[in-house]
Formats: sequence, C-alpha cells, structure tokens
Amino acid sequence: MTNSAIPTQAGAGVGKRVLVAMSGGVDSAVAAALLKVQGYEVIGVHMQLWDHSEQNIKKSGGSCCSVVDANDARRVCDELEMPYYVVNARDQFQADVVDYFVGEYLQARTPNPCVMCNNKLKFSYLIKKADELKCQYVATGHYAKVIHDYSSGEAHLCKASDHSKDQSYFLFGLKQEQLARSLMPLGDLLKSNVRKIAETFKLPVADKKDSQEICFIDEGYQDFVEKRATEMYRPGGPIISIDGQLIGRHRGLFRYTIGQKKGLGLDDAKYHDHFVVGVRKDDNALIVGPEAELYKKSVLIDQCNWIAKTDFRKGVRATAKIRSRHEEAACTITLQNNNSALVEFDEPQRAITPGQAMVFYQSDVVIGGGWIYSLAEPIEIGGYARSSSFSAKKPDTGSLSTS
Amino acid sequence: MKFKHVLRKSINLDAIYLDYNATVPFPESALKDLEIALKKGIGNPSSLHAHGRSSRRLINIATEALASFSDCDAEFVYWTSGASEANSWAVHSAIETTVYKKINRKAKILVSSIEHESVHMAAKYHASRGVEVVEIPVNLQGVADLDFLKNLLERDANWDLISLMHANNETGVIQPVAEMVSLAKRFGIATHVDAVQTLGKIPFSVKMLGATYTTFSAHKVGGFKGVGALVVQGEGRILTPLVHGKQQKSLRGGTENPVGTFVFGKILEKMKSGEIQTPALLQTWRDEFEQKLKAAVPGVHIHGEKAQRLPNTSYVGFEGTDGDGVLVNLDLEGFSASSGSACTSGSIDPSQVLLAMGCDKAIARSSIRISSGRETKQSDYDALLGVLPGIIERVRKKRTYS
Repeated sequence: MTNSAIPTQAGAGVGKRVLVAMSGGVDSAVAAALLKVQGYEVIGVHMQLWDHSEQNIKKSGGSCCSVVDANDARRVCDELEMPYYVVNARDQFQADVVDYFVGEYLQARTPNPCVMCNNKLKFSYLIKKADELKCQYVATGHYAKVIHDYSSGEAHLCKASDHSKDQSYFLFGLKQEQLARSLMPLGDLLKSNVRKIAETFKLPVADKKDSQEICFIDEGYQDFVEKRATEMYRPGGPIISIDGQLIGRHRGLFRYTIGQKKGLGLDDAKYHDHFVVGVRKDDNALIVGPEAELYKKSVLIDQCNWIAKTDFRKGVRATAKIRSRHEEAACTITLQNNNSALVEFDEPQRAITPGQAMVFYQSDVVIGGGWIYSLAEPIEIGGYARSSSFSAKKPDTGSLSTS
Repeated sequence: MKFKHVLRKSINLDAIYLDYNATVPFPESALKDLEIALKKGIGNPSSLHAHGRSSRRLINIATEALASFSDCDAEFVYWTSGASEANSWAVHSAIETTVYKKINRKAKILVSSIEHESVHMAAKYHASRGVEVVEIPVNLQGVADLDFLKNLLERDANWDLISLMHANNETGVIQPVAEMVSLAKRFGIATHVDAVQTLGKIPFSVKMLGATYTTFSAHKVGGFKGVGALVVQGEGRILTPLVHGKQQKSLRGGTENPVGTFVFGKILEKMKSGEIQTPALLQTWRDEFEQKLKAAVPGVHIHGEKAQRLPNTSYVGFEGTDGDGVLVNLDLEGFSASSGSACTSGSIDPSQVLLAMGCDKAIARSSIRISSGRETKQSDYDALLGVLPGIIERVRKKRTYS
C-alpha cells in the first residue's frame, strides 16, 4: 500500500495531470501547493455553485457580484502559477443539492447536502471535467485519506490523521471508480500544520476563516425551505404527545428535526421538557415525548454504498456515525440486500434522524454507509403501535448477497 | 523558500494569442516612445512649471494624434480612464440633458441589445432611478433593427440618447451606425457610438459619422489599459462630469496620464503612417479557417456569418460542448482565445449578445471567440485547426452536460 497523497517523495506526480477543486479556502489551496511540489501538473478549478449575490447585498449593503471565493482561489493559483478556471455548475447544484435539500425537508426528513454535493458535484461533475481536461486525478482539500492499493487496484477511504477535522463521513458515497481517481493530500496533516504550510508558501488565504455550516444558506433553513415551496407542500398539523394527547399545532413538519426541544410552542408546562421524537405521516402529526424516547437501538438504512470488500454473510461488526458530529458507536450490520441494511447498536443512540447519512468504520477505515430510512421498530403512540413515518414503507428486502 | 523554485514555472507567454478583441499586445516599435514618455512625462500636466508643461505637451501630441487619426476636432477630445468610463459618461451626460434643458419629463434613452456591458449596466442603473430605457433589438445575424428604431421614433421622438456600438466586440458584426445617426438627427436626438472595436480596423471619420458621443480605447490598438477617450461634438452636446475635478475644463477631474496617453497617440501615428500594420490577408485567413473548421467538425455555428463583420473575428459555437471546456483545453494546448463574455469571476454565462440574436442557449454557452491581429500568421490559424477538432471530439464525448 502506498499513500500517494502525501509528499513522501518529490516527483511522485511527474507526468500526471491533476484537477484540484479550489473552493477559495486555505485547505484546497494547500492541497494544490503540495501536489505541485510533488511534481504534478496542477490545474485549479472553482465551481460556481450558488448565486450569493442576494446574500452579499444584504451583508455588505452594496451590489457586489459575489466572486470573493472565486477571486481568492484565483489569487492562490496566480501565486502558484498554475492555470485556473471557473466553471458554472449552478444548474447541477440546484438540481442535485438544493432541490434534494428542500425535498427532504418537505418529506419531514433532515438532509445532509454536503454528502450529496461530494457525491454529485465534486466527485462526479468534476471527474467528468477532469476527463475533458485530460486529468488523471481530481484532488480536494478534504481531511480524509484515500489510499491506493496498486496491487489489488482497490482504493481505501480512511479517516484523516487529524481526527478532530476528519471529513471521511461526508465521503462515504464515493464508489471505487471515483476513489481511484481521487487525491486528498491533507489526510495526514493537522489543520494547524496546513495553516503553517499556507504561510510558508505565502498563500494569500493563509488566515482565511474556515467556512461553516451550509454554504448556500444564510438565513435559517426554515425560511429557505419556506420560500421554495408553496404552502400546500408544507401544511401545518397536530402536535401529539407520545401518550396520544393532542397538545398543540405545528406550522409544517419541515421546521422540526428529531431531538429538537426549542420552538415547539407548547403551552402546557407538563410538556416543556419534551422533544421531537418522530412524525406520523397519516395525519401529518409531529410526535413529542420525553428524552428517554429519543434513545433507539435499531435502524433501517437504504441507498447503501460499500467501499471496502466486506463479507456480509453474517452480521458485520463496525462502529457507526449517525450524523457528522456523532461519536461513533458499536453496531452490527445485517444486510437486507445490497441497497439496504438493518443496523443494531449495542447501546441505544440519541436522536436517530431519517435523512441523515450513517457511515460505518472498522478502526480508521470507512467500509461504507447508507441513508437513514427509519427506525426498525415503529414508535408507540398512546400505548399502541401505529405506523409512523419511520415505517410508512419498508425498504425492499431482497436476497442476501455480498459485495 | 524551499519549494519556491518548484512552484515557479513561468506562465506560458509563448501561447498563440488569438484574443485581440480583448486587448492588443504592445507593439515593440512603440518602446522608444514609451521611453521618451517616461522621461518627459514626469510633471503634473496641470502644473505651470517646465515639468508640467512637458507632460502637458505629451498629452497635446496624443490629442492631436487621435483627432487626426479618427478625423475629429481636437478640442472635443476628453481623456478618460478607459472606454467603460467613456461609455458610462456618455449615458450619464445624455440623461442629465433633461435637467440641463429643464425638460419636464423623465429622461429616456434607447440602447441596442448588444451594447458593451458598461453601457448596459449604466442604463440599468439609471433605469432603477426612474429613467426609461428601451432596447433596440438585433436580427438573427446580430445587426441592429433600424426599422424598429424608425417606427419607434415616428411614434415618439422624445428621446435623450440612442446608443449603438460601431462593431460588436463578440461577434465582430458591424452595425449601421451611419444610418442610425442620420435617423437620430432627423428627430434631433443625441447619439452615442462606441467605436472601441473599429478604431484601426475599419477606416471612418468621427466628423462624417457625426455621433454626439464617440468612445475610444487605447489598449484595443496596443496602448495601455486604463486610457480611453470620449469625443463629444455637434449641436446641443451636453457633458456632465462623472468624475469631478478641475482638469479637462472641469468636465473630467483627475490628473491625466501623460505616459499612457502619449504612447496611445504615437501608436495611432504609426498606424496612420503604415509603420504598424495588420496583415492584409487577415480576412482571407479568417474566412478560410472558418470554412475548414466547418468541413472538419460537424455542428459548428459561426455567429453573424452572413453579416458584415470585422476582418479578424470569428465567434463560433460547437454543438454538444460547453464553451469553458473547449477554452480551457485550448489554454492548456497553448492557445489564448476567449468566450467573448467573461463574468468578473471568469465563469461562462451564455452571452447576452448571442441570446439577443435569438441564439439557442446551449449553443450560446458553447461559443468561443477567436480574434486575430497584427502578429497573427496564417500558421496560427492552421495550428488552431490542428488541435480544435480533437478537443471538440473529446469534450463532446466527456461532456459534463447531458
């Protein structure tokens, strides 16, 4: 195994052309610089994903054309004397990320647009761009490692050395053929080192703040979704306690996420310590309950992607993250078919949320993941089980197979 | 700095330059003039002392040169920071006419749909302040529709400006500016002609043309970026300062640029004397290139092909490609061409000019502009023909849009 992403030897990249996705931030800038040092022929590409002009006008009061990040990336590429291009991927981003994001909320699920953006934009759209430009690789400033095993032809996705910055969670959807074309030169570096390297190279973004939160949302996500869906798609409905009482009204399920406590607007003090624990699609109801109801052990996932060769004939032991900032927990994965699986945690986990990605690790290696579909056991309301949105439709169960 | 030498790889300035409509390389024969200007243009041209006079003289020489080259009155030449300022200034001044003449109606201007963005954005700004702006459409070949204009003027002649560029920077299509100006004169309306792309490419006289406002740019003939001029002439001309200060009769403030202005003037002199020339066969090479390209690659669209065009410009769409993919590949292969309409970010939005011509959005997005000039050789066109078909084929196969 060789980790081709790290500058162990100068000249590793000689004769190879790589497209670096330049966001305008410090990470991708350093990734580009490191690849250049290794001798790669490096081409910087900035994707225009979203028209920020509306946001910028609000922020700066002027009529700026929101090209700050594109210009930062250009300055970096000029400094490194590498070709730099801006591509307009707004239509793709709208269709694959923004529409997905809004659509998930309207179905009372909690989306993860960053995972989707990696799958559909950075490692699909950009790989096609790389083909157009005769680039063998696409490189990003992600904190994760792609280890190419040239003997087996297999690529491994692993956590970054800097566990506090690790972004492997967001990359679980990459297929072998995408990983085979990917370089992530920052996987072995600490964030503090990355800034030092940026200073050493005198990159103009060395002090630039890290981006936070969802790049296309400036306001609350609720306002964002509300603007993009007529009321018919986001009707209000009842709030029902876990014991079956009608205790209030909500203004659209998209406003809530599992584990939420604030903003429920419940009058009765008795319910002030209640959390959102689920939704019921039948009557568009929001279900609230005491904190204990948030802890669940079994969950169904679908749209799975398996990166590592794994023998699924028996339940597979792994650790799993149920959202990006979740501390991994031990679990057993039982495949239902290649696309869906039942996951049973050893200990109950708090606020398992449909729509979020679940990613599996064996030590530092990402073996794969899937999207949380529902709890395996429907939540019980008012002492009897009623179908909740979590199990409105069970994922297909098919023949057991291994990949 | 340990890695500096690895990182430093000089930008490829040996690439074949085919972006003359964006800017024209500095002619070597003007180096001597630049040296003179740097020595003699030290003083502030507004100062009364010898140094000031010396700088002022450089500017006067340039003013005379522009007046002589473009056949206008030197008295009416105003120097600006470039053509965008001149364009903005013309629009601004014409709109202020209503204030000056105490005309009791809102200002109204007509601009063609293919004007440079400095005209469009100025018009848009004024429209947001209550000015009425109407666009003159163009036909499928990119020529302004003067019948539309005539019909409009016959119904309502109360306009403060008609703006139509001399030749379009993207398509190279030459516009019926003389007809436009004489039409406007019949109705007593001020006119603006942005002649940035035609200076030195097709001979014309500012006096004969008779537009109220005419715009020029130095760097489109090889001078420096940051130098332009607005020529203002004729009855009822109005010039309202956009940049305030006492220079240039208090109409355009800001210390003039003696060096850049002088060098521009000298280049014009050399163009007039024939010392600086454009290849006589440029148009033949361009036409042959277009024919060969159409024969070699299917799905090629040459915009404005049937219209009268500048001899140096090809604006070509390739079905099933996105223009940035083709351009980037050309850059990597050592050809500097352009999309014709780059946003400040450098990304490609479909050209407004092509959309105004009724061009399909996908074709508009796939279009690249090849513009040649002084240093171009026929072999440059041949070399381009050598790589283009391969690039188009690859981009079509791998295209990102489906």
